[in-house]
Amino acid sequence: MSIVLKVVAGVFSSVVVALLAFAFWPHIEPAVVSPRPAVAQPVFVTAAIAPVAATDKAAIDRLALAFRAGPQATDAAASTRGLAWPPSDAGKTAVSDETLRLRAEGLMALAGGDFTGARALLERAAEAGDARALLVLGDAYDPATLARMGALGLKGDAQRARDYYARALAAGVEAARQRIAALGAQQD
Amino acid sequence: MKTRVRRSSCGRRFVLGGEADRRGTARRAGCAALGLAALTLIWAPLSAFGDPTPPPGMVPYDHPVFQDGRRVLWHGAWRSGDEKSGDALASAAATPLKIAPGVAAKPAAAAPATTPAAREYSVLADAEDSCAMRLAGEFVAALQADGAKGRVIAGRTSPTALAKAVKSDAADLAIAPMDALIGADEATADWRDRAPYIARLGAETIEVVAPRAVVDIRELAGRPVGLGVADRAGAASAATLFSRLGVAPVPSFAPLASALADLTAGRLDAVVAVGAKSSKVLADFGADGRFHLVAIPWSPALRSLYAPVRLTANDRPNLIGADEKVDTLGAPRALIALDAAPSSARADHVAALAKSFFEGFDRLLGPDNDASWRDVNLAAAASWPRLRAAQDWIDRKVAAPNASLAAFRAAAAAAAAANGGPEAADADRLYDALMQWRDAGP
Repeated sequence: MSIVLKVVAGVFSSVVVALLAFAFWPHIEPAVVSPRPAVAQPVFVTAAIAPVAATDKAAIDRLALAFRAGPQATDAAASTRGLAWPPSDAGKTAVSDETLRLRAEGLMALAGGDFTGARALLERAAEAGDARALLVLGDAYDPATLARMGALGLKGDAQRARDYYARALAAGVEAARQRIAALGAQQD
Repeated sequence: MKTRVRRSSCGRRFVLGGEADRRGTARRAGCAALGLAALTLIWAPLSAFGDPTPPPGMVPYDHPVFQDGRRVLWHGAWRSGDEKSGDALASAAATPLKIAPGVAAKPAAAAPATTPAAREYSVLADAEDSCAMRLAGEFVAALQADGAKGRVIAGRTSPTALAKAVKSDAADLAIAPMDALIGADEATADWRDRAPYIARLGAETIEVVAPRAVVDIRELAGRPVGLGVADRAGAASAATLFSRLGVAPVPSFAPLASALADLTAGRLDAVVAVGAKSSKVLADFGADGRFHLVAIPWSPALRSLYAPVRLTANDRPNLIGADEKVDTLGAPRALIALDAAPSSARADHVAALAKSFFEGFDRLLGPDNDASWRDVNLAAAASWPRLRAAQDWIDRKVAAPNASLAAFRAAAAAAAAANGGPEAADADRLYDALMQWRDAGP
């Protein structure tokens, strides 16, 4: 073998090895060597609410405004759609504004489909003496309520729902009586 | 010249003897080994150059893609935007990914895609997040019943890591920290549509361990706090939490065990542990009574990102007194699809996995699986794009809300939009709206 062939073979092999070394060189994520926190400043995001379909959006908006405006306006708005109901003071107990805000947060979580979050918030409100929170807690565990609100995969707990309804009834929330009866009827 | 010919002749080996012959044999063996190695080195890239046609069902990448340090040349046609029809998906042959030595990929026409069930998929979970790793394993096991073969990849799922995963085809799905994703609004803006979520999963508890002298989490502003391993899901959630609370500690990034050692030595003023429910090092920590869990009070700023959690002495006997309760938070995780932009073929492929997950979800509710599956409402929404096929499946299952339910939700949305969170009066307004819906019947 001539010296020229040796030189050519050597150069060619070196090039091949260099190519392969380049190809197989381990890829190192830049994040490994330059860690930085994911978030630099607060970002506020509003909870998403499932879109309303096949309903009169204008009427719903009026009803929502009526709810915020007060019981009298709410009655008027509801009556226009044949949805009148007796606003009740049952279960209204003297609780702190902080407890009421917890119940409101729990109800907002319930409306957004976050049942686990709703239960935790309502439990805190109930522990602070809010009887209405007990009734809503029962709803948050009631399999019938979960199904009607569109929960998927999440199983209710009829026994826990019954327990919360019973506690709400004992605290003076009369609406709990109907819930307990409905739970019994479902089991029958 | 004659001598050289004789040396290269194998026949001479048996004729010649003695020390010189042994040296010659060893030299010849060395030459042969070197020759074979050189041939192999030269043949491999040449064979790849000579084979520009991808295997059936695969198409070449148009950009360099690496997995575990190796360059991947081909990928399933589902990633190509051209093949979207269900017929193409159904008719394709199952072919595993080919990993070849590094040569430039040559463009070729997209081949038919693999069927979702036949092609192996992968779920990325954070290696530092034992809860997410477990969920990913159980997810793969559940989908196996439908014939879908999957595997779990232990990696990183912080927003910065996911940004790379979306662009580098690292996995099909990921179990990611939803709070960090939503919180990193600007950082995720250019790829969030390519990483839609399929479902919100359970929350992982956030625990802030600190000396008993620290009673309010706001006291940690400007003080050294261990957030976990840098660029991991836990550290991302912890950073998002402090960002939401408006508290700016001096972050320190280290594994939980060494962070707790630093806390004991006084080098850190607090350690944040996310998803450390089954951590033995945290369970054993604090037996001397010097440390406790700092409460994280609920505030409207935390809504939509976190869920309230209450811990008792049963959860952390070393860090919570017998009669105490500590309010803290749960950081939600989500199952997201990677590189599945709307109308892409990848989205179609992942849609089959999403459908299998939804329809077989009850398999995950067994007693042997993680309890957090039982907290999952598949229909729960998040402030993040959802995979179209997942949303369509949910819409088919859930009836449109009636007027009273829609009114309850609208009232809740109005209360949520109020500055400073809901007022005390909103509690009764929302309660009355709920009662009206409840009493209105189906």
